[in-house]
Amino acid sequence: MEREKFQKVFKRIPAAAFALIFLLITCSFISKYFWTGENLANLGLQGTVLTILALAQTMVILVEGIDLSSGPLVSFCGVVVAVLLHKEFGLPLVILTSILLGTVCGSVNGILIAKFKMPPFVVTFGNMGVFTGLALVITQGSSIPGFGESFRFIAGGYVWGFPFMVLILIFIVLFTYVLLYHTTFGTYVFGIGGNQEAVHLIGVNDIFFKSAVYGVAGSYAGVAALIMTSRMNAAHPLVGFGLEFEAIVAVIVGGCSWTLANGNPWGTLVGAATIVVLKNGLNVLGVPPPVQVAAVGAFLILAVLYDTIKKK
Amino acid sequence: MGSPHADQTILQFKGMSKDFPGVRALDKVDFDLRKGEVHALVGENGAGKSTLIKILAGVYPPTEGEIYYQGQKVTIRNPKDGLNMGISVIYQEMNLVPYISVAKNIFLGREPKRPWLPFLIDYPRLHENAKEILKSISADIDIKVNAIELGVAQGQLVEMAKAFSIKASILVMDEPTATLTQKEIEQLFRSIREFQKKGIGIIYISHRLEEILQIADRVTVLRDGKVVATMNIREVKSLDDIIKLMVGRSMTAYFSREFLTKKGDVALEVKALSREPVLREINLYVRSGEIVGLAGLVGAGRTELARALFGVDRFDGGEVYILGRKVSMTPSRSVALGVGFIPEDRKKEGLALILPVKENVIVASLRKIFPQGLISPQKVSKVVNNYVKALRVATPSLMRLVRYLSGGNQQKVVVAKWLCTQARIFIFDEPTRGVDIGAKAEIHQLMNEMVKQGAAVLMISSELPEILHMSDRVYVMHEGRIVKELHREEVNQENVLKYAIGGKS
Repeated sequence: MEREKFQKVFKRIPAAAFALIFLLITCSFISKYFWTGENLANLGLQGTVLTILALAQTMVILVEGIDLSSGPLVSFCGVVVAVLLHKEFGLPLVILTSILLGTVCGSVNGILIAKFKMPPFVVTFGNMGVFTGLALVITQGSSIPGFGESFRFIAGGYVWGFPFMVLILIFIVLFTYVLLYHTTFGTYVFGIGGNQEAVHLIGVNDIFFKSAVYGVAGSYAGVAALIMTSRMNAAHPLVGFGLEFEAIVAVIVGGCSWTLANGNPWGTLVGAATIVVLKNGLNVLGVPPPVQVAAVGAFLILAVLYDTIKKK
Repeated sequence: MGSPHADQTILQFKGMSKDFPGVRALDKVDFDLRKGEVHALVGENGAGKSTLIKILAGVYPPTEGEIYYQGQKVTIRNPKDGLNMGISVIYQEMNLVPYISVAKNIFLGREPKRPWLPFLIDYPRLHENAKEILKSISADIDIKVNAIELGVAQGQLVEMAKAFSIKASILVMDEPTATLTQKEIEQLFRSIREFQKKGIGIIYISHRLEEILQIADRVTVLRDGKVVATMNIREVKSLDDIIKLMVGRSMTAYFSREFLTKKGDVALEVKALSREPVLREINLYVRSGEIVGLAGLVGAGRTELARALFGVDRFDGGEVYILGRKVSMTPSRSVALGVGFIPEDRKKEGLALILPVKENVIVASLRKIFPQGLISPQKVSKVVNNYVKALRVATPSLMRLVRYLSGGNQQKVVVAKWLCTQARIFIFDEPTRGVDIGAKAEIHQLMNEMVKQGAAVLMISSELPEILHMSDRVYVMHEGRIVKELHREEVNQENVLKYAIGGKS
């Protein structure tokens, strides 16, 4: 009985968790700087944008969807933020605009998918191009650098000795947890992914909630755009390129399944952490970024291969 | 079962009819339900039970007729309407959300909120209410586990709790006991009695007639879309009464088969085939020159047996012999050995709907006819044309996409596919489902012709008249076992139905 219970729990641990432990041990051998406060803060900085996007992606995947447009949406929101800052709009207004713009763009995805029953892949694939194009049009292809002190505080400031950005991340994680497990919205997310018919038959507006999931995911991209732009102290129209890829990898290796809404944000956190540590470790070893992209892809395949074999 | 609420009618159907293209599924049905009663609805497959339920649930609009709910005339436009009125339907298929807790499932869409933060779910209250409701229907289920962890029986109880929590006044249960064990059924009945005490009217659909005698207050028998009788359960003397009412129809419209007196060798034999939990110790044989019927209720394991025989699904134990040789089956080996499988759902499993007749007929024989892998279009056309003519497939050309053919002609295309592979053993799963009367007779004639030329046919059918008219012998299945082999002279409706519902020999 005990043994069975152990096996059951063991089977639910995604490969990413083992990979993370392995990587943490390996990294502490190859670099004596790995466990220093400076490097850990650095990991937090590198991981924040990815983790926020991965949490958004988790909700989308729970409702049996995918959001390929989240990376380009970060670029788009980022350049709009830069333009507004240069026109000397107030910081609160800029923050609000970025989040709202993300929400609207995400909702467009959501409405096309939930209301018009278009495949999520097609809709978000199309908008991947649209958002990238808009960002390029606004900036005419170049980056917009140089913002004031107050805006740079978002990614560079410290509160009580903590990077402010990491506090934002902690807030987003808590927000996601409350949203998924303590609100009806979250219940319907699991409901729509698990058995949309059941949700519909009980009289819940399933179309609205499914669209809203993409809207919320878009708002997360808006937040990520603020952090990204602040950290780079510049907005570049292609800055979000490939972010959606890493976010999706984080969700999948975190054990979230595309069917029946079988997944949770904790797995995603582990998945995102694994990617960040993996890239950090490769950096220390002097592996160039293009090879790192390949490494993340290979990690995805190996992790899923492990999970698939284990399930048999 | 004398209930204190007797004689208060909560629901009444008057002259309810429903037409589907080409069929009248319900014909002027009158039906009523009283407070606190269990009203059983019985009838053969296709008698109109599901249609009646779906009209009540708001899934189909009726063609004509009126619904009165608590004395008032109502229209139920959609499932939500039905739900608001207090009509709760538990379908055979589960309507639970797998990865949220039992408590959340019960209150899905009506979660209690925290008084000071109305956007947050009030977990303590949710859990307390869920516990209370489960207790009141005497169900013992952990409210915190996810629904995916529940067995079928527990899932049903959760659905009943859901119905109870929306204060349903009418509960419809479609075959609730189809997959339950005896102990689980007793638990279910206890919960049903709790519902009765609260004055909820229950419409109970089941194939298991003994059960109906046990739980129902009244029973309505449907046949061919018409109500043949509504009786108090006390008036029912024996199960045979109900069976006779269920099946008593004229069957002269059926094709009459020529039975061969001299049969060939055993073509297909199965020994002790098992696939837990759906197939148990199956023994059967089919000689060439005979049609062997496989009768039983939906869920008895007939389709599973057919799939295992053809090698689609693996099985745990047992042996299959083709023409006396022991073989281990895979679909490609089955084709090579001359076995053909005409599946239940021809549109999904038997045909490529968006391809023309030509491709559909030739597809299983390509390797046999063109072993080098190069296909000669002229030869394909010639071969296919022969079969299309022989089977009289009504198609303007070989290039016609099969999706545009009628059900009967589609079925002929599936048969042609197997004839083309030179198959000698055929497994027909519901050969005439969804084809019109004329095409039905043609398919029966075709099957007759095939066995005359020495084919061996195993035929699964849920239509009793088809089993009775076409079979040389009949095996009756019940809950994964063959419970009876009936020879030609013993094959009659009472016998088949008796064993199909689990009667002992």
